[in-house]
Amino acid sequence: MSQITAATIAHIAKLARIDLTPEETETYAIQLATVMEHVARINKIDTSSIAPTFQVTSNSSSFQTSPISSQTLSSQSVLNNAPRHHENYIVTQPSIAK
Amino acid sequence: MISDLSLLTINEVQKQLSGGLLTPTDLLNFYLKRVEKYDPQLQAFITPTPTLAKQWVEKLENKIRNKTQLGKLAGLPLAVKDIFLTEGVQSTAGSQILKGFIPPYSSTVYQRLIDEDAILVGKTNTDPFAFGASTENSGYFPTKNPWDKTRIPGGSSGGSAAAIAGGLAHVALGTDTGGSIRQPASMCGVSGIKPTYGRNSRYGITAMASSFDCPGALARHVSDLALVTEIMAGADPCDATSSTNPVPQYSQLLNSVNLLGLKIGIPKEYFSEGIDLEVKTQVMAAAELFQKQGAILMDISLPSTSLGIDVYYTLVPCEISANMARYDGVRFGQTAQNTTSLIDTYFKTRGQFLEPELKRRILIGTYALSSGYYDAYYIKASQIRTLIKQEFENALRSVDIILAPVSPTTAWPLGEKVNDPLAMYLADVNTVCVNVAGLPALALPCGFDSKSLPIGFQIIGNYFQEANLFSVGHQFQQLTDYHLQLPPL
Repeated sequence: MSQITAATIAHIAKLARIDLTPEETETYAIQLATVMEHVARINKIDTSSIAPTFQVTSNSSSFQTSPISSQTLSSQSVLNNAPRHHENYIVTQPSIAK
Repeated sequence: MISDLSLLTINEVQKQLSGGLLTPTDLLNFYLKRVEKYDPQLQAFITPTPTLAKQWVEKLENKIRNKTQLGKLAGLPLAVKDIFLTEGVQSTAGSQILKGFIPPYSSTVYQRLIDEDAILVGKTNTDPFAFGASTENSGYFPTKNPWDKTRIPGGSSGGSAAAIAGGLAHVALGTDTGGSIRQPASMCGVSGIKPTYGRNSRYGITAMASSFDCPGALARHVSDLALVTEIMAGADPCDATSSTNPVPQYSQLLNSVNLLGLKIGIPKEYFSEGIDLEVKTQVMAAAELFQKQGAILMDISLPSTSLGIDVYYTLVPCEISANMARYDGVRFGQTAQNTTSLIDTYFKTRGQFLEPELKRRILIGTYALSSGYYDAYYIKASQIRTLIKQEFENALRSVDIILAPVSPTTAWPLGEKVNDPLAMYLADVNTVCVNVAGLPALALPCGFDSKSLPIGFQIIGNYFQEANLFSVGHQFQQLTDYHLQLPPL
């Protein structure tokens, strides 16, 4: 495993779309290094013959067979929580730079 | 007399209501007065809902006047962890990023309880999005333990546990992703059920780790948990992982397990390194009480227990990093001002409004899933998840239930672990493996330490065998009165 540095934290914060202050970046570098060093113990276990578990009570995925029409919310009730909206649209800042 | 209302079972309350000895208004007023008096110290609630509760009780009184059939939980004062969506009532999930969020729909399990005429008395404090073991990560304030207000109530369902212990609600809803019902229940001296994964619908509850999250309930009496669970549980078309297994009438099966000959596994790993001696003594005393009733105690081993923390704190942050992507300041919740582009809105909103523990876990998950590390962390941890699950399955072939302490210590002082995330994570050592495997477990009180702080134990059963846990727990509460002790408020 590579060393977790402030530069690592800055990179993953960018992937996770979170602005961090320089102080936060330093703190998380120390804390993540400690946590990841602990959990890296799992790499000492031989799991070559063990299948991974992704769901615990079933081995198959269930699919929706019919639409859940009664659960549909009105546009207005959804828009009520949007920080900005115009008519039936949520308003955002531009996604493409001018 | 009136202080006894919080000690009654739901059945006893319902009998008093139907016999005319008590009205829903009396019952609600009893709890609302306690909330008014004690919640300023305990801070169990982010949003108390007394006005709404009075309106609902008025409707219920009308039903009684009109002789309309009442629900099974008529008038029951219910506290709900703030990560459950409650239509029309602010649901912050304990985070500033959802401050002011008024959900347009309700979570399934909450809806099922209010459909039976339960009365919402408030939304309880939690670590934000349930990330934590002490309720100190809340974006609002820390909740205090009713047994010692300088100590944590446990977490993340700390507000719900404190509300039950303090007599501020009769039943409370919580969620258990790594111990978040059982651990605060244990630290506050109340009972709590973490059902089998999929037994209760997760719909309408803010997602933490979708393959681990389990909604459940907290109350004084195991018999109340049985009744509430039989109402909450069952398939939900809105949650594809909810189980279609039929739901037994748990409240009718409270004496179904014969303690004589019951095989109880005592896993040595849960009683070894790091466990407080007083906790060990009281939990073993609970096991010996079962032995006196004819149960057989059997030493068992779950060798991968110590890896549970590592598996949990790898897989859960991975799922968190995906689930938390939706909090982007665009469709709901708080949004940063003075941003210049859509991506700038994402960065600044998340930087400004996500609490430190949220950022920490999103970063851990993003790191573990990032290019080059996926196999070493996510796949490896998922393989050890199989190992932990198999060890429980093997053990439960030779014993009927497993008995263990919930937490290696009693409640610690507020602030003790807040700057040491690893120490906080390691405190979950006795609870996380149950979630890694998806098994049901019931926590209940079994005594006090020398500081008069509650000690709890858990009984772990096989998949979908909640009925056995309720029966064993109920019989324990018929033999003891730890669940009826009141904190010195």
